[in-house]
Amino acid sequence: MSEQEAVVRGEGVIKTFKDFWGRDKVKALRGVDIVIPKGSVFGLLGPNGAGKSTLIKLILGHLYPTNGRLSVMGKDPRDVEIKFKIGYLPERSYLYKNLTAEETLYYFGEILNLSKEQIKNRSDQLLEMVGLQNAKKRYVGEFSHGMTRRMGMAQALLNDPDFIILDEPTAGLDPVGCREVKDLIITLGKRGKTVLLTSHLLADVEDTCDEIMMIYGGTVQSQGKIEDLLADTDRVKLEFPANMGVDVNALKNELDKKTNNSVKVSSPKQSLEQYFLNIVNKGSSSQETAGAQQGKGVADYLKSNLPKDVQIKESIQEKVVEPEIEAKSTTPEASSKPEEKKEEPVLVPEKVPSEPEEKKVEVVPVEKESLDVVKESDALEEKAIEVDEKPIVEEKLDTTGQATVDEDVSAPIVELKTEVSPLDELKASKDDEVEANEPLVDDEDDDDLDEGLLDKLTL
Amino acid sequence: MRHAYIIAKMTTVMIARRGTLFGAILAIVALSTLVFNVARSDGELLAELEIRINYSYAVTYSVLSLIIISIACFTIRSQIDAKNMHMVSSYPIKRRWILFGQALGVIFIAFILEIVLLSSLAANSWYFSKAYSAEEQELAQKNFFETRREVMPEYKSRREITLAYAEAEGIDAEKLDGTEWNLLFQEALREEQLVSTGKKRTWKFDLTEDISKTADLRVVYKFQQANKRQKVKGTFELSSKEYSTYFKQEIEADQYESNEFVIPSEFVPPDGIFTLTFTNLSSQSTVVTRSGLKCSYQKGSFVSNAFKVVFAQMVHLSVTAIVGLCAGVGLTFSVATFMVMMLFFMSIAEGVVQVMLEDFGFAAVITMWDQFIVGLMKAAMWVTKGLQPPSIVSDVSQGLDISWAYLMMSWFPATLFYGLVAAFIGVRILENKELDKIQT
Repeated sequence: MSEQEAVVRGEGVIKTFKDFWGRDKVKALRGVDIVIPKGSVFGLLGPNGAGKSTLIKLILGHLYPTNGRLSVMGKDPRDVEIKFKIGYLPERSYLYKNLTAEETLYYFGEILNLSKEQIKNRSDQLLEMVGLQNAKKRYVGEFSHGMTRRMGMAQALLNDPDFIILDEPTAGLDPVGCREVKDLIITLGKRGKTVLLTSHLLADVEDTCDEIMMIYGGTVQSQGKIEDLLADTDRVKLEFPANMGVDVNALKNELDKKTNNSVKVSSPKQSLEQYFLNIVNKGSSSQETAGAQQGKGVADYLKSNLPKDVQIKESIQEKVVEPEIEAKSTTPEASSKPEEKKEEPVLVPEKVPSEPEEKKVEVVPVEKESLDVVKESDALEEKAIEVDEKPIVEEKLDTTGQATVDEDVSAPIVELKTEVSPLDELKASKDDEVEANEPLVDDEDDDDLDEGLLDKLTL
Repeated sequence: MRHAYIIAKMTTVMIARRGTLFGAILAIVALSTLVFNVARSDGELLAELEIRINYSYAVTYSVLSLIIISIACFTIRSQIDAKNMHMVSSYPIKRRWILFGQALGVIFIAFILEIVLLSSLAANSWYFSKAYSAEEQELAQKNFFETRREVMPEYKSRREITLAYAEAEGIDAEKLDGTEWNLLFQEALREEQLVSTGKKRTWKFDLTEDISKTADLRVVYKFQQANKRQKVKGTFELSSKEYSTYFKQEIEADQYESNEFVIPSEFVPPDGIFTLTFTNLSSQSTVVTRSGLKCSYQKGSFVSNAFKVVFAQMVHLSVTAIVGLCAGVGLTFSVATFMVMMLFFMSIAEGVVQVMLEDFGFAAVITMWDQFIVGLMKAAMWVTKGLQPPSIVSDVSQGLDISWAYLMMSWFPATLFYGLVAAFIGVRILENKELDKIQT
């Protein structure tokens, strides 16, 4: 990858903090190699003291490497010119407490050489985006922690940066704010912006990042595309609406025969985050708050120049859905009543089908985005309780991928669990043992599904 | 430069909103008023104002300098400690402009405080004068609004006087021990100051300018001879080596009081160089001390004086602010404040050190060790020289014209050099400083 393609390139970066006498005190980074590709959303993970913040401060030019090479946009991190293209949200609020929100943005806008008109327009949009429009005349020092985080996010985006460094952007934010930030990161990613993100909330990273790098003890432990790192090819998950008249128990029995009783059936549950968002969304329409308001969506100027084939769906405003707290049954009878479809707050390319009725069953476990067959990964928030006869409850938090678009409380999940990769097994034996699998992988050829209960999976 | 202006605006706003500016204004008004009303003189308005303004101005200006030191150290240090500096440094702005902008902000605050101080002194003087007669008020106004320039006669150092006396008396000074040397000095000083009956004493003046067509020369003198409080009779004669001007004034004056007479301008030689000779025609001897005779003439105006005051003190406060900021960049707030305050105190104690230096240099034979000590002390004084406030407070209180020659030739270069060096060091430190410590 050329210098132009990599926004950040570091080779053998070492950072050693010294004491007063020049003796080594702490080795924060021990030969870190890092490449952040242009246009990627890059997650930097690691426990406390791993060296994440040190690496970020090196990238920002606040600290200087003891050894090794580090370049940002092909230049020295201390170069002032590159900072016109960088937005930075620090892990804590380092804003001026005696300035109002409006003045803060005006101040930084002036430093960025923005015109007064630009500053005003962007400030209004940003404050609206982060839900601080009603607090713009208040001093930042009077803000709650969450509000200062929102304020920090606003200042980081004032210059519409090409490279955004977000140090724990969701720390201290309420679930609404977290979701908004995640939406924003995805929007920025879709616009071709490069985002460097650190967070202790691994779900946030998983939801938003294309690539991650894990640091521990100042050394890189793991690095790569998130889907590669999290891939679990040993398991397969089928997902379909529960109101299709499929006898799940019979299907389970059928599959058990094929998979040596390793199938578990569960029903997806509405995520607590989505439940919370719905409640807040409903409440915000009838009640005012003195604190941060719900954001009004990504600022317009941050949405400009999006690729034509990408449209933004902002989660919070998209749809108000009554909390589905009663939808627990996994049986076809209980779920036979048509239910309102809930949409997850995600960015959805226009070309992606979103209507559950049109979905086809397919067994493509490597496709995370698959709507009907969800390959269960090592997602940390995803838990499943295996139940044989009784309904299975599955907690699954949303992701920003398409897999969550049709999250439906009534849709059972059939999970195949084998010692050998069921995908491999299914593929290997599709001609003789699991003939029905073949039609499953072919959306276009549903009529060929002719064996046992599997034919009922044709939707 | 635009960035510096933005930072300066922000710095000023922050200092004001923190309440620091209001507190400083309050402190300056309160302190200047307190000292003004506590000081006392002989009851005459002119003397009262001179003393009260002198004390109040000197004390409050010193406190103002300390306030600026504190504000400067705090401004930069608080931004580093609260990591506002990190935030700003992640924006496209060079660190030198951050420092320069903060300096401008603090200097603007200093300007406000300087104006408050001068206003407070003026208000106190006006209020105090109301209790006096119209005549005294008019005299005081004339004194302050028609400023004068004061010229002292040329003086030799104590060592030079003593050596000259020893030579005249045929004494080998190098062979004298300390006690004998001191006795010889007392003799020499007595000889220099004592004017016996019928004897003459001459002082040499250099005005360095032509006042022969502009201003009359006022000669102020004071006689003092212990236990002999009779009036002194005599004459003062002005003469010039280059010009034929001559002026003679007969006097009969009380001792231990300031007396004066006026020499019309046409009698003052155009080159400004002349001698004044006193002939004692009394029946008893008298003493004219080293500060017992001086000349003055009208020069400048209240407006020009006010301009010089504000200019000189703002330059001083600016350098003080820069030194404070630079110390704040490299040191913690408490250490930086302490260090700069110590430098400031050393600088205003220069007078004391000068006496010490003169003592070290006051001997028939100056050893290498003495020379080393004197050199060391002079170097130490040079380090603090730039923080020294301009010596103009007493001029203001006496209604004397502040000398441009003193400001520009003696005080300003050292102060400017000091400020530039401090600014250079501060910028270098800040630009190379890592903005964080270990966070593990």
